[in-house]
Amino acid sequence: MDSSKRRLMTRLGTLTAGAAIIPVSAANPFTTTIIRNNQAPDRKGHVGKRYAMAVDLRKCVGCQACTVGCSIENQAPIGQFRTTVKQYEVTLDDGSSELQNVKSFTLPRLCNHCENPPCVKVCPVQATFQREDGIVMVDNERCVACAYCVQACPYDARFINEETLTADKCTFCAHRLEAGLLPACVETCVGGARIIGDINDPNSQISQVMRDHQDDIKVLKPEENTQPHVFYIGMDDAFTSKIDSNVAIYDPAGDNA
Amino acid sequence: MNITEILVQPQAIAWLPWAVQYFFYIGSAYAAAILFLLSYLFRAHTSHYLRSALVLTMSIGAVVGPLALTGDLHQPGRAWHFYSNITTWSWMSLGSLFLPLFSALAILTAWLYLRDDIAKLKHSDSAIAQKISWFSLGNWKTTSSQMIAVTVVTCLAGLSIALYTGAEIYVVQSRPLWHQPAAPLLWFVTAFIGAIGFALLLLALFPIPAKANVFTQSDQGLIKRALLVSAILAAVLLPIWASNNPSFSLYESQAWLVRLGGLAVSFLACMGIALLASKIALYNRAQLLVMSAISLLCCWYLRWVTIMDVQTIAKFDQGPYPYELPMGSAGLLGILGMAGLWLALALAASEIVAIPATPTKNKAITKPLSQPLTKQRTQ
Repeated sequence: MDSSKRRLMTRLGTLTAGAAIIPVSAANPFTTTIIRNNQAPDRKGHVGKRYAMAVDLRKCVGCQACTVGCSIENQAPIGQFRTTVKQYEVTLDDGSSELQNVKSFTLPRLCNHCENPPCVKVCPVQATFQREDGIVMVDNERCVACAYCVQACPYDARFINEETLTADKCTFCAHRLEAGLLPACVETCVGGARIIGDINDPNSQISQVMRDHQDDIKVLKPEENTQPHVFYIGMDDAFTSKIDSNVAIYDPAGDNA
Repeated sequence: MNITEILVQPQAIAWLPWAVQYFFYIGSAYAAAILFLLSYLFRAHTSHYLRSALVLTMSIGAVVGPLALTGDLHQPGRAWHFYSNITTWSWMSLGSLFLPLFSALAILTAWLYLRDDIAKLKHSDSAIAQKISWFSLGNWKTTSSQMIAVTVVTCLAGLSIALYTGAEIYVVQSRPLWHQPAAPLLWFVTAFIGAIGFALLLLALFPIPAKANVFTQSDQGLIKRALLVSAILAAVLLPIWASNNPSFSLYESQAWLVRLGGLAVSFLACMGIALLASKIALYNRAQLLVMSAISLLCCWYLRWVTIMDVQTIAKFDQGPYPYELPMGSAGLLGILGMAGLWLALALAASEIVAIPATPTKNKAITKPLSQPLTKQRTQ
């Protein structure tokens, strides 16, 4: 990707993240109508709240405790994950003395509970919906598992659960939030990198953290206009959109395996 | 900055080969509806064989396609949820309304067109065929205005399928290769290649004696023009489609070069057989089968590349995500099963079309075979 395009995306990222911190109801007028499918009374959630997550990447060590915690809590099939931590190896090639210094970068991934969720508007049976508190859910008794939402999600946050044969995704552990508990991934995070809370409440921990780091907050793929509500602190621009990287973990052609 | 992926979970393919089968059969069905309308409007010049092959391509595709589509649902038993939760803003939901309408109209059109042929079965020696003749439901004549009215409505329903299948994938903004006008246009134009392929296969299945003079010049012209125009348009659209991928250049990937090259060759092959179409006046089963195989492969492989291979492109990481065709019902068995179902229906239906016992061995290729069932102007 050339540097001008990257600069544009950086600005887009700052803009979108900024717009998301301020009142979230002001959706981008250039996007199409936002569909939430939440007219039914049992689809409202906590009216008045807006859940979001901040991930302080400086504190993430890539231990995958969140991955395991989520798998135990939500019983996703072996090999399928609602959250996971992607790991990358980074070296600099800018001629600096750090040239040989290999660093690792870890990127926790989960559903972004977008304010403009592309997965919700494509669902042909309104099985997936967004509660008033921003949490995107799937009614897996209605889901026909057409996988349209899996295709529409730009973040690969959804999958077809091999056991239930329906669409599955992170719910911010809505069942735990309702019981006054933290999501499993937040609870298990050893470094305290994941912070969840209500961004409508200016006194919540997440609101404070986001105020403290407002110049350093980024979201994934801001150019998609999805207005993600998982905010990353301490992320390099190289990781916000499609990553220009080398493949190491698998290679279907077998050359680098 | 050099970034190397160390631990990246690959995303599984979400739309299975069933989706390709659906696009393949339903595409051939709506394209055949349009070609049938054309051949029926010019029925004084086209042969009953070609019209029958087109009308059967349309109706069989309209039956097999939706079955493949329910296979793509991981919960096929919940297909009725589409109708208990109609969602006007989702193209897939609209499609669930358009699709049964098109299928029903396609069967109605085929029945109306083949009623005379079905009625003729009562003179057959076979007891089963005599019973099937009851399906003509009386001896009344289908008028040409009835036929044209129903065919036009079926064509409109077919276009609604073309529109919704294209729009349904076009709206997926997360995949640039789908979110561009060239993608639905490619599926639309290559649908005609599939329709001709299936029609040629049906013609090869009809029990017509070898060397019979069955195809009129207009038949040949229709086959030739449909193949040639579709293949040329597809060849123009393909590079436009492939260039619209901002995240990485398909032309820099060896695997993608092989796929795009394969498609380009298949378009050229279609243009080649299109030129051959002017030499099919005398019935030659082997020639029809070869032409059919080439055009079907072209139409099918385009759908495979644009639907399945595109899904191996990672949305966020580098990928490509691995995909290997499973042998079971979600893979090879499903593909063969659907092809088998199509063939079984085609074999059964090909028995309906009335073939005169003594085929004309007229060398004058401009002269159509005398048509006992439809009024035809003799040239």
